[in-house]
Amino acid sequence: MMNPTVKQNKSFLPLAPTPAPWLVFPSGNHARKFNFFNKKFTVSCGILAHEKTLTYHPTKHNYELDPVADTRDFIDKVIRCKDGNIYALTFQLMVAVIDRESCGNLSVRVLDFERPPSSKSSVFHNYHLVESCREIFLVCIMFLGEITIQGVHYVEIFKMDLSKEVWVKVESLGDHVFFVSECGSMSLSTTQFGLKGNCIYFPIRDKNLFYVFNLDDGNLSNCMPCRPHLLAHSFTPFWFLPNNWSIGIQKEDEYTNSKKELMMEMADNKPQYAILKEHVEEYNKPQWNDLPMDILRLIALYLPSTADYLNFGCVCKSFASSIPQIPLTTQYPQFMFSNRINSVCSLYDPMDNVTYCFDIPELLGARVHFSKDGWLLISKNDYTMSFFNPFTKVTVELPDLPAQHFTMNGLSFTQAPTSRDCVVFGIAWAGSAAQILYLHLGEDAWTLEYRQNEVDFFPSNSNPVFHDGAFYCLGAERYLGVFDLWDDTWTILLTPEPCSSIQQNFLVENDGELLSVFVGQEGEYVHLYKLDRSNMYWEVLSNLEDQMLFVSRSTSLLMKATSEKMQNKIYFPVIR
Amino acid sequence: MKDSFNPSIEPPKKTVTLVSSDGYDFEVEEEVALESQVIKDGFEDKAVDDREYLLFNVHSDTLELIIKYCEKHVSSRKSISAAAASSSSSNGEEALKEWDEHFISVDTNTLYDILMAADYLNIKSLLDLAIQKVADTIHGRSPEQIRKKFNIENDSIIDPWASE
Repeated sequence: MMNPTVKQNKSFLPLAPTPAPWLVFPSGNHARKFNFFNKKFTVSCGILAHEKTLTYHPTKHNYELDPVADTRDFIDKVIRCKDGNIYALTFQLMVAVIDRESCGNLSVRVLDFERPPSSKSSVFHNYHLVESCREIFLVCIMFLGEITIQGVHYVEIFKMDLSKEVWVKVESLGDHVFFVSECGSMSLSTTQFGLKGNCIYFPIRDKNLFYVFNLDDGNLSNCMPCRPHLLAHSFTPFWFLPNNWSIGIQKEDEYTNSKKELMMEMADNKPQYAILKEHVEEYNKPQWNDLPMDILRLIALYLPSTADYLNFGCVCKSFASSIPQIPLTTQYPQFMFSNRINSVCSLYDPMDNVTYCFDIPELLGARVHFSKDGWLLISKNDYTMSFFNPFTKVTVELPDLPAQHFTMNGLSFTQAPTSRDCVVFGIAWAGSAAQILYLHLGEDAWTLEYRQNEVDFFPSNSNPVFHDGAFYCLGAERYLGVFDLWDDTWTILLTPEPCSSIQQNFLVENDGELLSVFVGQEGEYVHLYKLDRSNMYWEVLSNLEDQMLFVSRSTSLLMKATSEKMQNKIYFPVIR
Repeated sequence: MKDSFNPSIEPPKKTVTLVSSDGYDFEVEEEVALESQVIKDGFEDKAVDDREYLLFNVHSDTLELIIKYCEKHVSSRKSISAAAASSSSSNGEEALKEWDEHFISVDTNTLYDILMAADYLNIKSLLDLAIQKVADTIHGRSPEQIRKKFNIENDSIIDPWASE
């Protein structure tokens, strides 16, 4: 029975250009990147695998599935023989049989085997179990001094004799070749491959290289002449036999399968082992939706317009998931139109002179007061106010406005509501005073205050500008009302200028400079001024150079033009 | 005196071997290979005779294009700086930009391969070029058109922008 909870991870299996097993180097964080080597033919792909170890409990004289290894011995190697039994070699070189009981539990019987004879002069040994022709073999690579290729002393092979419970030394493998590694080994008959028989292939960890030991003449040679260029964190390599070229052999060699089955049974309902799922036929096909997240994010950042951004997020799930993690930074703004009768919004792209329509049900009946960093400040009636992000569809509800508030001339906020420091600010005309409303995000209620004006101040119908810890509100006479958030003061700056319009006055902040724009009826004139801070007066500005200016009642901004035809221009809406 | 004996003979160029995923060797000049940040990192630590790189993710067809790009950029940089040194007017940068534009005008499959290879080899300018191309391709297209162009399956349960 297959365990239905076993997670099948999608991966690409490499094609096999020559009939020989692959050497697989896990690398990367948590060994999630697998690099496949077949001599010099290399492909890498990602498969996730996770194992728990069986640990030995000396008191119970058996092994249990236990992630906490606090015992003296543990199962080091597991192999399934063709006779149906699963054999294991412990760290202390004990031989064990893993029985599967009818209820699905595993039990471990330690056999009374003699330990394999080892040369006294060797300091380190690498042991590997290999199944070949219904026999279990033990490959023992002995090192002198250090585990490097220079340190290899000799390679010995033993065969398991179950009846006498001893390891019998083997002198020749005949036409078989063993591929051994820390994480599994295999035996193949050379009659099918044209490889030289009676050899053992093994990797050595120190340099990520692998070697071949010839039992005929005792020669050791390097069979991967160049060191693979691996990512950081490389792990123990293992052999992997691709089955797309020789299904027969894969069936014959059931080592991989047995290990998989074993792991599944050990998995006690939790997916612990990922099956290698083949997608060989898809290998050469580009998978745009499988692009790494950082590349998708880069693509989204390079998109020129908001409409592209919205469309990009609708293509598929992976594209969509790349969207919320980046702030909206298209290269120029688009005008957004919405009306309160239906939910269709239009975005006008001034660059291409195109209008895009989107259905955003959340904006039905809503009035947009201000926008910044992709967030809209909207109200649906006189008292409810909320933030809405049309790209991520996230709504941040705000407390109801106090009953005594007047219709506000301008609303603004300091920064996106994803920040705890976000402050929403509104100003309304109240005769000789200014009605000021503000809310620190997270507070239960708005603060409503009346601040007496030293001079007549009529706030223009445009959004206040947050700059340097204060909200700047433009008055009809080009006065500047300044509400300092930290000092909690309201002051009015500047001497009055002749009033040119009370309808379309806009205040823009850019790079520490304050600009005011006065637009005449139906755009018959446009006056642009810059604030001279040292002398506190509005200076006529006649040239924007390579900048472009966008003004509207709810949001105004000045930015560097992305194309020549947009330079030195002011974009504004005309309401007829 | 000895050094200037025969100035026309340059010292032999140092080369690096790049091996594609399908097993082809490409011998390229060291400075061309060093366009890749991945190769550049730790390049000095590698022995001179061991300068062979196995590029698991890069097919020979793609590697050929990548090498072409890097060679062009190395040679253009040289000619631009030479022109700047002699203060002669040069439109080298514009010509290179034009060349880039032509270079990246490929079908989406090739573009994907270039994108992945540029990311894997960490060649910043090429990655920027490829990403800009993808963004330009997306520009002005509807989600359905983008899917068709890039051969992406629609796995969204609902299409929030779909017009009824």
